[in-house]
Amino acid sequence: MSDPQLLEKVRECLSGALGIEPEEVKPESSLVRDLGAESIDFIDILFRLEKTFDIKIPSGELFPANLLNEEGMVENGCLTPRGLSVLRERMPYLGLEEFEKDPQLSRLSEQFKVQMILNYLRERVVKGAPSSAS
Amino acid sequence: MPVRKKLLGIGIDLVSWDQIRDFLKRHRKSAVERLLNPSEKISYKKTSRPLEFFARCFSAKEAYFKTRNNFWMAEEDFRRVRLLEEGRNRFRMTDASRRNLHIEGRFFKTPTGVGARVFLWEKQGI
Repeated sequence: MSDPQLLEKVRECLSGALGIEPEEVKPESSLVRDLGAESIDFIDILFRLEKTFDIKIPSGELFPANLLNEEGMVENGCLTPRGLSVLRERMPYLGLEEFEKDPQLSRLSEQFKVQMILNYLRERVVKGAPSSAS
Repeated sequence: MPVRKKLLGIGIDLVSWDQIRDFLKRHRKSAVERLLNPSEKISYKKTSRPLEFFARCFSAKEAYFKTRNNFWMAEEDFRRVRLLEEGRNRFRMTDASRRNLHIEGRFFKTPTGVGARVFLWEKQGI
């Protein structure tokens, strides 16, 4: 599957889940800030991606959970160097260059962009990499 | 002896009926299987108002996750947390991984849906 085909399918999933036009979905779009995704939308997106690409996305692999509950990860509302390191390790598909300049926890959700989903699917679907749970 | 508690956080979540209705229309089987714990699954299948039941479960759990500064929780987190309704829109929750917590909340209605407000307390002296 080519990158344009991948983007087209992801656009369909997100536009359906979020009730927006496919053209509004751009790789650089933030799911929360630009596309208005809310709590249930993330689960809807996950389930749609699984159906569209016929894959099972293991729990926590695309949108990792409980990332910052460990001690020492957040201090005064900002991710610590350790927190950033853990984030990089567990979310390799997430582009953090911009976030690292000002790692406020309140800004983290803005980093969940369409490109993150594309990066993940490129590995799983295009390159055929197994999930981390397999 | 009364248990001392320390307030750790407050969380709020809102869902609209339309959102939940559309979501269940597309993903009912996955949603029930992957997001509800065993006792909630039984209640869901028995209730005459499954839409409302699921909406309340979901909003309460999301509100709880927000008390812990998490904007996203994995499926097993949804299943691990159990909602216990106590009437008059009050509820408690249990989190099997955090037995030192006291989780309580209230549902509230909006013109288009339902919301949940959760208070997260840490039991002290236990």
